[in-house]
Amino acid sequence: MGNKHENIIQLLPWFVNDSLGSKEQALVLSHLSDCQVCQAERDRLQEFQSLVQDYDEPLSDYRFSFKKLMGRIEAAEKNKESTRDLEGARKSRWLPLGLAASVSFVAVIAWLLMQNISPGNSDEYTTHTTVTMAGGDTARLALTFTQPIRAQTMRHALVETNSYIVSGPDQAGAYIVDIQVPDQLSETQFIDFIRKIDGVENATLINR
Amino acid sequence: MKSIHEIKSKRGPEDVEDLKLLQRVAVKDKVAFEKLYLRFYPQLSRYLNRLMRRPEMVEEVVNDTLFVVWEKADQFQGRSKVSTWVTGIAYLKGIKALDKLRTVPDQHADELDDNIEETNDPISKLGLDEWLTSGLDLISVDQRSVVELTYFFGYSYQEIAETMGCPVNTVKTRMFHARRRLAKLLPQLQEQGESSPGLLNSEGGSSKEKPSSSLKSNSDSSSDIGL
Repeated sequence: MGNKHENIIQLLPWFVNDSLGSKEQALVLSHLSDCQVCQAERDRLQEFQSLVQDYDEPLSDYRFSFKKLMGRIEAAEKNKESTRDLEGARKSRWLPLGLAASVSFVAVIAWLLMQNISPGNSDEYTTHTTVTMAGGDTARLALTFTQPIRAQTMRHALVETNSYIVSGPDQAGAYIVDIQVPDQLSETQFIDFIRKIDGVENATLINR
Repeated sequence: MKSIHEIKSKRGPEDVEDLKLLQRVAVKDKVAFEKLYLRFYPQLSRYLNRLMRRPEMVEEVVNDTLFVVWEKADQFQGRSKVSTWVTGIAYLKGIKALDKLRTVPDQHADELDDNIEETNDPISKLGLDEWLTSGLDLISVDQRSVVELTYFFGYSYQEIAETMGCPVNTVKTRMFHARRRLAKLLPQLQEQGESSPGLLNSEGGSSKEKPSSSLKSNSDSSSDIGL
């Protein structure tokens, strides 16, 4: 009973404004028929509601406010348009430059490829691909080793390649090493062979 | 996300009309927007006036609200009535404007309470408007919003929850506290009014009799909540 009464009394404002759903409304009506406290409360709430509804505050003319708002909307729309124009202008200004840059980039890449593919055009390239090294020749290389490298691994690498250290290490950690070419190999094959040795990080052929 | 043009209202003829207008506003129809403005201007003005107690700011906040409606009409999802959606925007805008002013309702209320006690001038009337606004000033902004949306706008507690973005139980609790506070306050105002000749007696005119009867019934009652 107590809980029901509390629930009903909580619902009374919305019973009075006629916004309760049909189930809740039926519940309130059934309770009201027996409960004088809730009846009195309902009457007070009805009176309060009519008081609230009767009291109307004076309103200013909507047209003036509407005009102000339309001014604001138009300003905002102009602002949006100019932002769009600005973005469009930015895009259209950068578009030709971007295109030009892209075309140039592609052209440069294509030119480089053409240069590299054409045989005999680049001394540097042909040095690594076509020049062969006779077995037993000595080649001078700059070698770097994976760090930290154990002395034993380094020694093993040197023994394996039948090479000896000319100087080093320099500030970059590179050793200048003379290595005996094991077989007839192109320079590229030779460099690949050296790089595969355990402990060798990098190998660069230097002028012989 | 559903397009506003796919939404169909089943919430009564008024909402059907509002939705039609809003759909036109979504495609930037300015004629429809003026009609929508005219439709909501009075109720938003009144609601914000009651909510904020800052008449000088009401017009600006109404326009802030309807500016959002203009901008976001195409995002309306039809989960509530159009009027609930618009009032919800107004509530948020009103609260935000008050936050900017750092208005603390209770401080405001204390000042007003002091003023009432110091009033001995018979011309300083506790007529209908003063009586009502004095009472509403002494409850919090959220409680005021619930009272106003219930008694003036006739919203259900579910609609109030949607408008204010809170659970329905919070709405009921706010109403409970508002009723308690108003029930305590209004008899005090009545006593003050009775000490001032011509305020609540028959000479005050018919509009002043109404609060009198209402106040008497409140002060007579010692019911569970009051109001």
